[in-house]
Amino acid sequence: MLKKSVLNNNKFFRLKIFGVRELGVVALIFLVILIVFLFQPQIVSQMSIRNMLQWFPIIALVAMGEMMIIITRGIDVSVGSNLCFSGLAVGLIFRDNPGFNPILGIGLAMLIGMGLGLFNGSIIAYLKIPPIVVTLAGLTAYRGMAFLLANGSQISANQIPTTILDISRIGPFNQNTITYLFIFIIIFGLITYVILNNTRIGRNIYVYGSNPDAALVRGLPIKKIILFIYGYTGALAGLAGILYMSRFGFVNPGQTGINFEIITITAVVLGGVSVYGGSGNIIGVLLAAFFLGVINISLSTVGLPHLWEDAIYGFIILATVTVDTIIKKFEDSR
Amino acid sequence: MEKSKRESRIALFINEYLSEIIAFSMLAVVFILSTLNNPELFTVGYLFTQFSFYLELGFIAIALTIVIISGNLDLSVASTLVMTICIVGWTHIDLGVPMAISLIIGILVGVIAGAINGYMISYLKLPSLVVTLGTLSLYRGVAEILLGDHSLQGFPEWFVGIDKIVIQGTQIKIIFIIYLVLIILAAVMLQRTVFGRYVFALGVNEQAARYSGVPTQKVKFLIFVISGLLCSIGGILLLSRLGVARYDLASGWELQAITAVVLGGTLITGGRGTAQGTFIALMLVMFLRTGMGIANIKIESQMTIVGFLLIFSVVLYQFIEKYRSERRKPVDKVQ
Repeated sequence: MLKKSVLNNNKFFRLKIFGVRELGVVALIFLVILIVFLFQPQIVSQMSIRNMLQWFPIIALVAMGEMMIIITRGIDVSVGSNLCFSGLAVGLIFRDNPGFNPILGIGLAMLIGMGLGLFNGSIIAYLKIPPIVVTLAGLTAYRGMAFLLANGSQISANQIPTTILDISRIGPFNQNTITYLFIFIIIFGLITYVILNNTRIGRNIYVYGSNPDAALVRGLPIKKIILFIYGYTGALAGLAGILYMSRFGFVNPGQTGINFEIITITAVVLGGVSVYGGSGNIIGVLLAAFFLGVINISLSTVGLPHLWEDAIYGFIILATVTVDTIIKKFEDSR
Repeated sequence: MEKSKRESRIALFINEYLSEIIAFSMLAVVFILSTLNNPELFTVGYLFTQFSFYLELGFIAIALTIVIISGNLDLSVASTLVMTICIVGWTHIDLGVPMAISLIIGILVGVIAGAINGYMISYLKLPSLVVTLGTLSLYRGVAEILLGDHSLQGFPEWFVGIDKIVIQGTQIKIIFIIYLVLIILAAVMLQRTVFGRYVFALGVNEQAARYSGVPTQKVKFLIFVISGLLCSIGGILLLSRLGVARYDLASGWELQAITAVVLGGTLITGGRGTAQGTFIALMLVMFLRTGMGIANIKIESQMTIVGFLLIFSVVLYQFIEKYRSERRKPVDKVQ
């Protein structure tokens, strides 16, 4: 009886904290907008809202995959380079065959990204090398490959099919704020949500993340889980490569996707995914990605150079993990 | 009887130093290949000049060796180095602080940067990977904010050009001696002191180390402080060599340093490794990059090759470790 009540109590408390966590991110979003609004009211202009709504879906997309990886206590720092390589490869195809079907191009980019992700995943799963080492090597190697592939050139806007460019320009209701980028977010957000909450592999991801040793003893298909999450993240990074191309109108191996790994990891950590593995949900990550979009637009509205971004992302990661630890300690002491 | 004893001793030596022997033979192969390609490599002066380009990387690699042996990872090494450079440049040139005091501030910044990492990892018990990924971004971001897009120069003459000082009458550079001293100090610290034993104990099994009375939190904290200190010294040497402070120096050095450490036989999961192995591997990376540069291989291809070399070396040493633990007698395993 007592045990049951403690359990219920605990569950209730956790539910509350979980809500508070997301409310915190929402509060942060409003706080930042409010502060910037006081100094520079044009942050709520249509232009900046549009810029923000074009940037955050790309973060959110890759962060969904990165979230799965961090739930299993892994990490993937190669997403930025993967994004650049896939985008560039498909961009080159578009350049050389002007009539190439754009939809096929999107599929191809996802396949290339998935290939790179599966390469990471197979080394991690079968050779048992720590994820950070494999993906750090991938971070350098894939970008090097992108440089080699580009051979000194870049993909510019007139070489990209209009269908691709339109993804971030117009929306389903013929207006330009809510663009087709949101269709991708809704589709992949739902897919990720269903995978994590309603399928066996999703359950296994959480189980493996909360206790890898127990998962091994219980006979979970660990290699399959690892291959799946890195492959899925790779595919999302490949898709993000196309969206990046659509949003910015160019692909350049020296600029596209630089520091993107830090941005996605910041979104995941801020979104409430535990760095100790085993917990995290997609709503938090989406909100956190939205927050990073707000930060991005606030910086340019206030007039701070983009040089500030690195420090801000680093600070957000550190502040979030510290606050989370303090909350956890407080929770444990109760 | 005598013979078999000696044989077993040789076998033991090979078993113990297998990774270093492999790294050394790879070094020999790369050396021979690159000298065949270009006999100029044989001149002592050229070798020392090339080595001076890798000295700062060597400081980072030694710092990382200690951190990785303890079972942690420090991704913020290159950012700490750059932050030191930028703070020294900023205080001296923008604020007009005398150079000597700027240097002391620079060293202090490195120590504080390491202490922040160490505090969060040891006392708040956060994973070293996440913390140092955050500081990787934060420290380089601080350098970016301080210096912006431009570079600073105009450092005093006595400070610039430490890499050009040679011992009278020879071609041996003074920085080479400094680095050798550092290697010896690190090797002695790791293999002959109590602190070194603690570092290995942490890397093998942290929980077991704590239960057997190792002050794990203090040791971890100190490891990261040492790492920050070494990085800031490396930064000051780099500033002295280049004479210019920029925020985008040393980008991608995390990977090269980790490659050198792992190639030198340090186990990425911790618990095994030597400073001398890292030194050998650093020479290997240097010969490889120099050889590729002379053979006119593009820098992008070099990046790709170094990336794959890292994966290759981790895989190789994992197999060696497996082989070694199978060869170990059951009695040894209990120890």
